[in-house]
Amino acid sequence: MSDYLWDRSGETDAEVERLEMLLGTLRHSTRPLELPAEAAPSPARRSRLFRLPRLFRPARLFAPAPLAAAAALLLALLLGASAYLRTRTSAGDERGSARETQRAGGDVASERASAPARDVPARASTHVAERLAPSGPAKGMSGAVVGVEKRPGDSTREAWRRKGARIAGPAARVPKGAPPDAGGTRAAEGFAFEAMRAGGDVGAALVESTRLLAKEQLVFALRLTGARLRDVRQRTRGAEDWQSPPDEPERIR
Amino acid sequence: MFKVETGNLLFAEGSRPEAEVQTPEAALVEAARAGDRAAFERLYDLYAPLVHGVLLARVPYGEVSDLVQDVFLTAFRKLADLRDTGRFGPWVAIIARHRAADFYRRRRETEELHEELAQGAGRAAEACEALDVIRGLPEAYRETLVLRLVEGMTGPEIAERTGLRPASVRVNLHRGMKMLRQRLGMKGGKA
Repeated sequence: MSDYLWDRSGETDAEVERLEMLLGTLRHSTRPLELPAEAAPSPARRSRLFRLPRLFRPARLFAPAPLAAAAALLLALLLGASAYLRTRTSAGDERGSARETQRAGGDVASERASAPARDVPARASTHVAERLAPSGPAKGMSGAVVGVEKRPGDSTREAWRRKGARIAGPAARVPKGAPPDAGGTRAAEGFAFEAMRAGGDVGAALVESTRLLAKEQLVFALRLTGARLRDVRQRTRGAEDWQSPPDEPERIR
Repeated sequence: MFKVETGNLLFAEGSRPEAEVQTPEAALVEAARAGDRAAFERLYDLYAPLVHGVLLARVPYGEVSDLVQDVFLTAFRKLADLRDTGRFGPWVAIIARHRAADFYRRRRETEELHEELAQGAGRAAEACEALDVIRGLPEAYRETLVLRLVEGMTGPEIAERTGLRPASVRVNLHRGMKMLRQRLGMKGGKA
């Protein structure tokens, strides 16, 4: 290739020269610049250092997509915080329950030494009732029943039975002929509802009432089984009598 | 096959150390920024052929003259945005390329004034046909060839005003000329 194409030096390239001559007719004519009278250079834009990043400029910040993303992030944060708080609260309740149970167990153990064995479950349930009571259990009053009048000579069980009857109303009164524990069970149910109404630990109250109901059912089932056994024994004795009556050989003869 | 150097790649090369030296055009730019219209008219005289060539490589011949005025008006208004005052040529060439693209966005269908040119002179019509062939070449070649063959600039001048490296301009010129010869059926292209 010749240098003529590059800087018009050296030997002339005839084809390039011909093209120059031909295309030169389209060359820029010396038309003067026509700037409008009001045209003026605009002021310089702010330096990039002082400009907000493109993402944070108002036009972009309030665009639908960033706005939706921000809303979603906020919602996620709120849900996360709510879940965290709920978890913490329930964990605190569980720890509190464990402490109460431990304290109740300790009290029962200390009572076992002095009280008869049949009173122990009643004492345990008393502690649950203490926990459910709106005023809360009174510390340092081991063996005392908060919110229950304990008359002289009453066992704790009797005191709670009265309390339950008072809470549950006339329907909870123990009818004549009813098993001795029925009033206590209804009373337990009654204070469970009372605890619910007072905003106490509803879960623990339900567990307690369920436990008492199960106990009542077990006692009833045992009594029924005993009665059936007695019946069967009587029938069996009658059959034996029928198979070998004392005077039968004489009659056959 | 030819390896085409795209415009973007070539423009990225334009950070030369000599651009840091204060040039006469930088002084003109500073004066024009201060509101000196005469200084800007001087810049127009210096760079109008460049802008004309850049536009002629892309838009119809009849539209180029008005578009050159538009480009310089835009440059005058946005002169404050020019960071390196020594690179007015590459900057105004970029404005011209954007303006040419904008021209096609606004007005899809255009008809060149071939008939008028043909009636005016057979030589002008022949020139337009040759220009059409150049416009069919890859972008990097056609702009350099138009500046060389139409505007009459030399290779070093093209490199200086467009901000391209002289080596790139040389390569574009020679490869573009070879392709043009082939398309026009010239002897040099057959070799």
